[in-house]
Amino acid sequence: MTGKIAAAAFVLGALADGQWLHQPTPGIPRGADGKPNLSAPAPKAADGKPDLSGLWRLGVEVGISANITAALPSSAIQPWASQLSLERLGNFGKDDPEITGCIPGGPRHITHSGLAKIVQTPALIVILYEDLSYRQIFLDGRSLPQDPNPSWMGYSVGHWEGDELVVESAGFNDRTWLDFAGHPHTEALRMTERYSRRDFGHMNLQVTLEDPNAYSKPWTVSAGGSLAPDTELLEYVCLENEKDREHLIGRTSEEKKVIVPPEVLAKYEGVYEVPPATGSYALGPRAVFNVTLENGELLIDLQGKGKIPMIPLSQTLFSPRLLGTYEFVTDDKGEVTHMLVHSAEEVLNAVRKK
Amino acid sequence: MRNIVYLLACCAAVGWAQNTGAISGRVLTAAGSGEPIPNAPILVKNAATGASYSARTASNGSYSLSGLAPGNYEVSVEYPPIFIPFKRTVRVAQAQAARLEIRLDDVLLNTLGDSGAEFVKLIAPQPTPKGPTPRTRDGKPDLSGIWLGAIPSDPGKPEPLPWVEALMKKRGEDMAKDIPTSLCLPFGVAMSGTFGPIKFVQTPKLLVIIEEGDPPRQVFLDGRGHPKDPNPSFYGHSVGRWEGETLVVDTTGLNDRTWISFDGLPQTEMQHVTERYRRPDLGHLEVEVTVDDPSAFQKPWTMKKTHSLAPKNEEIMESICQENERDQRHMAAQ
Repeated sequence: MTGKIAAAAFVLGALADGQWLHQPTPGIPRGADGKPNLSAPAPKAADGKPDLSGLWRLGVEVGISANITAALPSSAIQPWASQLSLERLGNFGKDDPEITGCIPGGPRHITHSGLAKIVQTPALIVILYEDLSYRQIFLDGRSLPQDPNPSWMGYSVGHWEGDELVVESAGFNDRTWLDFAGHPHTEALRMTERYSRRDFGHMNLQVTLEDPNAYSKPWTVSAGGSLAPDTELLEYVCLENEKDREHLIGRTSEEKKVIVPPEVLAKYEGVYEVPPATGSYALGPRAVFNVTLENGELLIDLQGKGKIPMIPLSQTLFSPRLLGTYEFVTDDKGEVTHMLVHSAEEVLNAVRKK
Repeated sequence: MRNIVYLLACCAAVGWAQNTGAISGRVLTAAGSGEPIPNAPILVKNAATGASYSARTASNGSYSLSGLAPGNYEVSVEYPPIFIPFKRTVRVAQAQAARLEIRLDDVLLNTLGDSGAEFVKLIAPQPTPKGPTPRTRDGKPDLSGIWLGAIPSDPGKPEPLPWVEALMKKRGEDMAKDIPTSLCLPFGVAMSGTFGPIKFVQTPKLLVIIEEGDPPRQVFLDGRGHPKDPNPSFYGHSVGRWEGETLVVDTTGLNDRTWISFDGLPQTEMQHVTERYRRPDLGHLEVEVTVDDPSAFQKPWTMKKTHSLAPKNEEIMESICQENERDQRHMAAQ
């Protein structure tokens, strides 16, 4: 159980960032009340290009980082990749290198939402992350290397297409996972990010993933972000006082024996909603989960972002590796009334709507 | 004419050879087959009279001290922070040159590479391009570039308080098994750029220092001050300001969980580090680091070093300490 919570805490980690810091960021346009005016025009760099610099909360939504392949038809995922993802889910991601190895998460580190500081110069962009990992994006006209030494964070070059920054990356090693469902990639992975700063406080971002060795066609996920004013990156040293690893044991032999009969699974199907007043820390004010039964497997979907298998831990408790563990609660008459979402930070009460 | 020169040379040699002796040899890394160590300081002290003589090794590691009165001499080499101090007694006889080949152990117990060449590279002067200090649009010196690691040319004279002395003694006895690098934790900010290479990315409001092996640092240049009560961290909170041609970087908010030297000088929460960066020309970055920490040292002390600009096409490589990490379990105290 601890293992699941540790892993879940990590998923949330990026959200539990320095938002409690109150250090005024100089140079931000502000209204008369001193509040940052995030809809002011996007700034320009001295060379006339849009200036993307700043501290951003940037990435895909939680549901997408849980399963980044949701937009792909399952036929486009090669069988070995699906199989590996299922194995990793079944083990609660215990071998996830970013968690068990304190190693930068590669492509997922880039797409997963969290604080990212963009430092732009004419020939180079540096992106700093809270866990002290970083990326360099070369804008000096060089091409991607023909035969790069595979690395965790890859090799990136960028160019401007009008006001849009196009970043192309390759040279990733094949040891990181594309999402928390453990979808793999190979060294052939190419990633293209398209950034455009809408206004002072908002960024559009589209990420296209292409890896013919694992997926039969490229696909694009929507991401984006907003400026994080009046805060800063907090130093996060993963290995400092590291105590999680030993608890990450995957599914125990007892848990592997759990079989939930189809008629019980069928009872859990439905739409569950965290009432807006509850205000989830991780999910924002409104969260809707859709639980469905397909081919004898229970699946969960958060806000329509993609279905993730729910691995049974008991007759009522499931772990889809999305925020935490999910417990179905039944009333006296045997009707499922709500679902408790247990995570490290909070327990959410998702009420059954349908 | 030529014959006369030869003759003079001949007689000069004979002149000392009659009354005095000499010590000569080479200084090499103990690692592997031995790489010549340039610029190593040799100190030779007469055991009876206390008379001392010094020299530095040439680029091929050779040294020679002549005109030594016969007797016993203590030969020592102290070349921190990479090499472990060396000491040996040598007998100098009249009209003879004693030969002493010195192999210096390094702080990694001679395990880096097969010759210690990496360490030697950090010491040897590097050829750099010539040219004026580059400048930013606003006329400030532009420190941007990739800089080769530099060990201090002047390590300064830290005067540790007794508790720090005891701590360092303990760390020495423990064979430095808890040195932060062996735990894949960052070294203290005062060690920034020792091994490098380091890359400076300077914008008007922010300087980012990317280090190969250690995490990147941020230095705010936007005029902000330090937070009132910062959460102590490995790198603390750094702000920089220009004093003429010098960028002065002021760091506080450090934690007490790392070291600021290989022999175990501690970083503390009281530590206040001032780095002064100057780029006198295209190819060099001069650094002075002052450590002010009344909780650990009797007074502030300063170390100095000069980085050389890396050759064109150098780049910082990704370096993930904990990837395939196999060392830690072998680190054991005495």
